[in-house]
Amino acid sequence: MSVMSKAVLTRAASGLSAGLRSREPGRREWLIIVPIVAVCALLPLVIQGRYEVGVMTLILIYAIAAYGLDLVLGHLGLVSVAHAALLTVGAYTLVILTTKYGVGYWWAALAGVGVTTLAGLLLAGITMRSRGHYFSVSSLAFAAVTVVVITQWTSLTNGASGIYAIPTPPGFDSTISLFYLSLIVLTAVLVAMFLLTRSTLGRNLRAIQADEVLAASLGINVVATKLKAFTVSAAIVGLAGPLFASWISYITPSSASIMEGFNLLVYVIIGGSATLAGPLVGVALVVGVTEAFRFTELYQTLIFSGIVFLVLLFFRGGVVGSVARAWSRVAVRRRGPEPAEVPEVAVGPGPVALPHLSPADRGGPAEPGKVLFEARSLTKKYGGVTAVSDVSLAAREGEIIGVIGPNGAGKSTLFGLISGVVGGWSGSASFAGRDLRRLAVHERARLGIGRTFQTNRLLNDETVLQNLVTAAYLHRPARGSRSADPDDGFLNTILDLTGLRAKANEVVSGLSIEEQKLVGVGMALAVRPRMLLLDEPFAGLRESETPRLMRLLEWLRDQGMVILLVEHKMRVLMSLCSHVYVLDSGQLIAEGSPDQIVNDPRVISAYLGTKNA
Amino acid sequence: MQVLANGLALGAIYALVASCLLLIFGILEIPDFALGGRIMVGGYAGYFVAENLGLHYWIAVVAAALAAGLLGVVSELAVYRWLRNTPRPLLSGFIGALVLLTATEITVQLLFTADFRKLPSPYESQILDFAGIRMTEQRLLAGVVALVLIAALHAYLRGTRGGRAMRATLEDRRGAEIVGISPAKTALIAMLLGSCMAGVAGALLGPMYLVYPTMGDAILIKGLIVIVLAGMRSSLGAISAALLLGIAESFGASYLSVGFSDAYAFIFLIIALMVRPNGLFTKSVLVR
Amino acid sequence: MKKRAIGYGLVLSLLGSLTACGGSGSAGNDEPIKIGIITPLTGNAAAYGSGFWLGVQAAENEINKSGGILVNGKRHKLQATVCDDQFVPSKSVSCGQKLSESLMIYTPATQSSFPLMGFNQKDDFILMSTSQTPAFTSQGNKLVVRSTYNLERQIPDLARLVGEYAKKEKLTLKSVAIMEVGSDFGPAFTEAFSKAWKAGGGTITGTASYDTVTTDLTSQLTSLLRGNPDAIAITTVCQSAALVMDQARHLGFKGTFINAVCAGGTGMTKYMGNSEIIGSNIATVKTNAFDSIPVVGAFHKKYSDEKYKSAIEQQIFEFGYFGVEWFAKAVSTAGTTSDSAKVHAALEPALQTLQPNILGITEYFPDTGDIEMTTYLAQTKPDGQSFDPLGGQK
Repeated sequence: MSVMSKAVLTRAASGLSAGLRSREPGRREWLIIVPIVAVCALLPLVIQGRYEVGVMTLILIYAIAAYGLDLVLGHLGLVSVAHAALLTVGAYTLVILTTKYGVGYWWAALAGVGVTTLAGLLLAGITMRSRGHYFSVSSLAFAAVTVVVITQWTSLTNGASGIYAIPTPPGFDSTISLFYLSLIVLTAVLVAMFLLTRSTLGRNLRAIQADEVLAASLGINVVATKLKAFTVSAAIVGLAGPLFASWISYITPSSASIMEGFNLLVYVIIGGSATLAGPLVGVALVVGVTEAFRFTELYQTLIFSGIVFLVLLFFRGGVVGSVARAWSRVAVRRRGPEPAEVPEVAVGPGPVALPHLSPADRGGPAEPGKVLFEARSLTKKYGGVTAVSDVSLAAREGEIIGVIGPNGAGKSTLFGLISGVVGGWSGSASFAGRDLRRLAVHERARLGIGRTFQTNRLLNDETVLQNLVTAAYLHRPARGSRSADPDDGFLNTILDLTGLRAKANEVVSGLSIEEQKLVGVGMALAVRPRMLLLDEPFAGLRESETPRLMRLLEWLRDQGMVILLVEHKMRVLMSLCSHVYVLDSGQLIAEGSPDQIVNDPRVISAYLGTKNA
Repeated sequence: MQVLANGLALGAIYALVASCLLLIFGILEIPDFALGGRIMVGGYAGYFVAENLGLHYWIAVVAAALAAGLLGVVSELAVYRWLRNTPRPLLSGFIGALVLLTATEITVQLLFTADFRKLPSPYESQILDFAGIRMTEQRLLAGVVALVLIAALHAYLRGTRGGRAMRATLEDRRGAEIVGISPAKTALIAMLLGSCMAGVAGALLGPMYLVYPTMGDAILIKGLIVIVLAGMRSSLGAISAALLLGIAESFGASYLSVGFSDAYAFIFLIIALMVRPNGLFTKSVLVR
Repeated sequence: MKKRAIGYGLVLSLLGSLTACGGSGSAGNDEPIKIGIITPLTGNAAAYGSGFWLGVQAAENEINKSGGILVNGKRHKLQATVCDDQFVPSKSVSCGQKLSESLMIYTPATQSSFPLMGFNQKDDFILMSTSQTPAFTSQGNKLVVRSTYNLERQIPDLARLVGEYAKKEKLTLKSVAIMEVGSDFGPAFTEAFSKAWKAGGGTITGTASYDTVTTDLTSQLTSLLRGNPDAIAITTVCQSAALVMDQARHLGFKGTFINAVCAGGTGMTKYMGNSEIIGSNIATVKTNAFDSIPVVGAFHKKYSDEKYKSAIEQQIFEFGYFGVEWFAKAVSTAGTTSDSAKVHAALEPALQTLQPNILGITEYFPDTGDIEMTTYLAQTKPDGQSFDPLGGQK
């Protein structure tokens, strides 16, 4: 029993990182839009009944909303139940403006999109700080409150009685023309979704979805990016609102209900979230099947439940996601792996010059000896436990500083304090003359603090190159540029420096631990830091690889970079560091040159004492 | 005072449902919407035993616990266990649990029609009156039984071997597994206990609020709000949050606008989450 | 891998089989007359919606057993198709489009009928509804018809009858608090009732809104009772009304209940503790709940079967039944199986042949589709027996 379930758990865990999250679509994947739109456009020639066309129109309208939802569901991992409420807000805006105030249809529709976007922004503002189930339930509450507000605001919304006689868009008053109008909007949304997933925003969203802490330490403003995504998502849903109102011709607050929100979610998940065709296929399947079996009365719901379970269990990425993966597996088997696109560059024996990391590139020459980072009396308590107690340290440009200590000494916490991941500390810290206290993680990254993590944090589903491209986000010259390496060879240089060139197009999760470590270092470099925090970069590194990394660090130091190094390999520390701090149980017990440290009795006892205990 | 008493009675039931949800969520990591279905099945089981067989109310309560517990175990074995095994267990669990709720409701409707039924209870017609606070015995009883059950659950979690194993899993899943606690068995026990308690909730609510296929929906959502308020992990927090929510709803409806009474829980939740995005009763968690 | 393959297979075969049975339609003999029924069969209103559908089916069976509807000397079967809309407007629209071939579509509520008003004239079908909202017949739609009272016509009667009742029983019944249901009916009721009640010298002490699905009403009631009303007006169906009454009594309310929707009877009392109806509760009656009226007594005797019990107790069965009976008669009178306008107009003469009827519909106005119904006041005893508290209402 327990053996089986352990296997189950491991499978679940590995499955989590097995390429089910959103990924960057290939350059030519937009081609899939063409057959989708073509099939939709031709359908009314085959299926002509008014009811059938009506259902197909509804499918298209729901699909538009589903894409909006998928932007936050598939690309941010936020399970929102509030998108039906957003749709209803858009619909009501149109309805109220056209029927009560006599505003022209198109202006009212535009206002509908605008108001929905604002509502989305409000929702995002309220809920953005909460994650996971907190977010879901907050969105649920948002939907419920929307229903109550619409119901109670009778002077504007006519309350629970709803509003009828909703106009159709001028020139599109037949069933079939509304179908084509919806198709046009859907096509625009599809194209926008494709462009979005390949843009900087899309890349940043994937980074955030994979690992918020990592994303922030790459300089991505997590909250702002989420807000942006949510606003775009709401705007897309807003497009569906007026169409929905015109289709239904009578609207009540119940369209905003939690149940409707759940339905949208089911559409996306059944179809396959974070795929280009998934939401549409999901809506078509669910709505189509429900309509087809409406007359089986109650059994319809049971049958439907059965189908959902089967899809959840067997089509694990949704219908489209699973089919796409099965297809790519077949394709890979036939064609062999895709050839690497990275051009070969001759690698010399020494470290390649990295002009972007040179001081000149940062707008001012380095001043070796100038204090870049200084911390006084840093203290961090977790409940009753003091993880870091009264630690002061300073780092000058062009220095490699070692931080050592036995396990649990507080080294990683210290790094967390400096990079901003750990909050709620006392003491003071400044970097390049700026007080760090009020700066968020991404702001510190932008100031020039780059870091790696002890337990590697990478975008596991993406290739090495994609990882680096995401990391170089801050310094991309042209926003929205879609070239893989926009930065005249900068990323290529990093690939060479870290020795990862041959692996550039491999997915990170398939690499060895050692290679993953190097990817981490490469990403930290891509942020172009002035100070680099490296958490045990040499651990697990082969002996033959160690000198390469050491040379790299030395070269970076010579360029004026500050490197804070947590490391257990004493030999490496001895040869690299000019100054070493020793932590034990959160306290600074010694500091000085490497030679002084190794002979310090307190250090010896701390190490031997704990090691032998 | 009457308002406070109303709120507390409501809050105790919320606390019971929230405790079940919390236990199941903690072990299975599934937001168990289908618990609403098991509350309802408990109500039906109680109804048939008390009304059709004419047995005493307390026997009906036991029957409700058994029926809901059985359904819980079946749900775990037939559905949840497999959903946890999918690549995105959180999302699959979310949707799967919801669909399971609908399926349960429809099945019951197919079997027994959607008619409303009243579970007979000898305590429903007895009205207590302390210093102007009026309440039926049933309402008081429901509150007391709810709190007793929660206390019993905690005693189980703290006092017995199985309970401690469960608590270990709640706190550290991997760690518990390494120590040799079987997650599958723990999940089964959690579903059994949680569902039995939900069944009792159904039998307690039946006399007050009638028995019908969707009777569990509203209370389930309240329970969900409570565990989110409490921060998904804290059981003591859940009880406090439940009582707080009950009182807030009661006062909101009595002293603020009555028109918005259904929204108070949600507004309360939104405000609470704006102040504490990760629950009212959570400590800050270590992030590395 | 194998397991997954089986899974794919299962899903596909399920989908396949579903498509197969979805496409099949039943071919009728000799052009049946089609009607569509849009009603909630699942969800919160399932009990209500199913009861309505049961009533329709009863009428359909009866008509078809007698050979069908006689149109111009030829008998046509009646074919009723039901579509579950769960009271969700977008589903009502889909249902309406699917059933738009019907000669008539019949719905048991405003929620289900308003979404169809956008296209019922274009698609040429009669829209019959148990909607009580005035707007249903006041928008100039030529093909709508009500099968229950327009609350604008009926509420003043209710207020008057309640006044008479108070006088007869020598009750102080001046101040009324309203439990207002959160659907379209609630606010409309409050408006109409307040107007009529205040015109008769009464006062309204407060309004609290609730839903048919809300089960704990203590907060609303505690708030209303602070105004010390003599009576509480209740605007929901029986089982929900029973909860309101039960909980109000538990909170110490001793006054009168005025039920605007539920007509009392066992459909209400079976949801209450037995000793609960202290004081009085009175209700307006749309279906004649008194079996003492011959036509109603006979009807209830005919459908005394256990399977109809709940639908009859909910007082929805009769609406499903009579609407179809009335329509069938009108088709026969109009002498057409396709001209909806003609059938709509023929509802007038058809109603004359159906007097007295179980719903107490007395007049039909073909121009608007509105009707006139007899309003009664009934009082329910704790055992569920209804009686005429005024004595001699006709």
